[in-house]
Amino acid sequence: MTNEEQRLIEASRLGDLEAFNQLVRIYEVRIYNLCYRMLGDHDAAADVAQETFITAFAKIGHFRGNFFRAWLCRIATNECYDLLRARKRRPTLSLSAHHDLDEQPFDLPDRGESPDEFAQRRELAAAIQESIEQLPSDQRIVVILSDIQGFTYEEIATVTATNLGTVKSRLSRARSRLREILRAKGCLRLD
Amino acid sequence: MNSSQPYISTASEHDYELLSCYLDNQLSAAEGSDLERRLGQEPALRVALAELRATTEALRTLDPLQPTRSFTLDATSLRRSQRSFNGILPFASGLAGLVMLLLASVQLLTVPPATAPAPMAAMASPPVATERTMAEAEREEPALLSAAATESADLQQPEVAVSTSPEPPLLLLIFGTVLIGFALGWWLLQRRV
Repeated sequence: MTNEEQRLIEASRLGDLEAFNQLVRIYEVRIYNLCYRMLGDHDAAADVAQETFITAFAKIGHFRGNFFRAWLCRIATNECYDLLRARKRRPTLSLSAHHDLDEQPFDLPDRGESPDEFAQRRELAAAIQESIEQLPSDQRIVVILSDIQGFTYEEIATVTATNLGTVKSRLSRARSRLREILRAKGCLRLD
Repeated sequence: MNSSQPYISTASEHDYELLSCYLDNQLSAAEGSDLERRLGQEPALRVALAELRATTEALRTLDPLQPTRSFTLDATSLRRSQRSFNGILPFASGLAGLVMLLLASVQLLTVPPATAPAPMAAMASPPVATERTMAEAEREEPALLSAAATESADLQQPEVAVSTSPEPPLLLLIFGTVLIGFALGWWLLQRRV
């Protein structure tokens, strides 16, 4: 955590909304992506990300320690779990939960990428997202934090409120299961 | 996008955990060298490692998505969220639950088991009325006497059962516990970050 971030957190604790909004701008893409990978739905991810920042502002007085991003991700994870539980109780079909076309609404081809390559990349991203959604939620969060967001095992343990052993075994099971799904879809590249 | 896999890996769950940690440099030096020795000897383990590596690499190819809006807060959104749920309901239900538990405890502790509670005492009046009815019936219609006696016996039987029933305090206990459980659950949920 940088000194600037620490200063923003202290100011936010005193109720400075503009300081908190600077923290929001730093972390909003990360939190939104975490929510989208967990939920597979852009609208729900945006709502949950918004709720995460509202909760974080309300509870920033309780924040202790050096892992602010882990603390934020923990709030987001809990919000995602709540929504997933609610979905389980009242299953609904989201109109935006289609990964084939809207994986990335404002995605543009990279420089030098042909239309075919671009389409292929989007297709692969959609297949990977579908595979992630087939994992149990406790394994899904661990693999998202580790392999997509680049968190350390210690940070993942903080976010998920578990110990390192649990993180290791969930991550291994998640990767193993994903390997099976991706292999069945023909999406694994073995060099 | 796809590639054909001519071989299938058959590593155990424990091996996958070792391989997963190996990919993240989370094994001790001894565990790492032991695994590398096995990798040199076991082709199936090498396939499993290659597949796991390919899986993590596929995940890392996912580009970060740009949200369609900003999540910065303003005073309006904060007010709306504060108004939506302010915790009065759980507090009130916890308090009501506590009162119910206290009432139930008082009832259970103060009422001797053999004595009928006040509401039950009221139910003791019907036999008096029944006696009067029987006296009148004796005067008016002796033939009805036997039927009235049977009826009276039926009415008196439940009185004994009801007078010793602990249902009201038990119901209070149950409702009180449920309400306190709800309040505690809400409190724990709020403590969760």
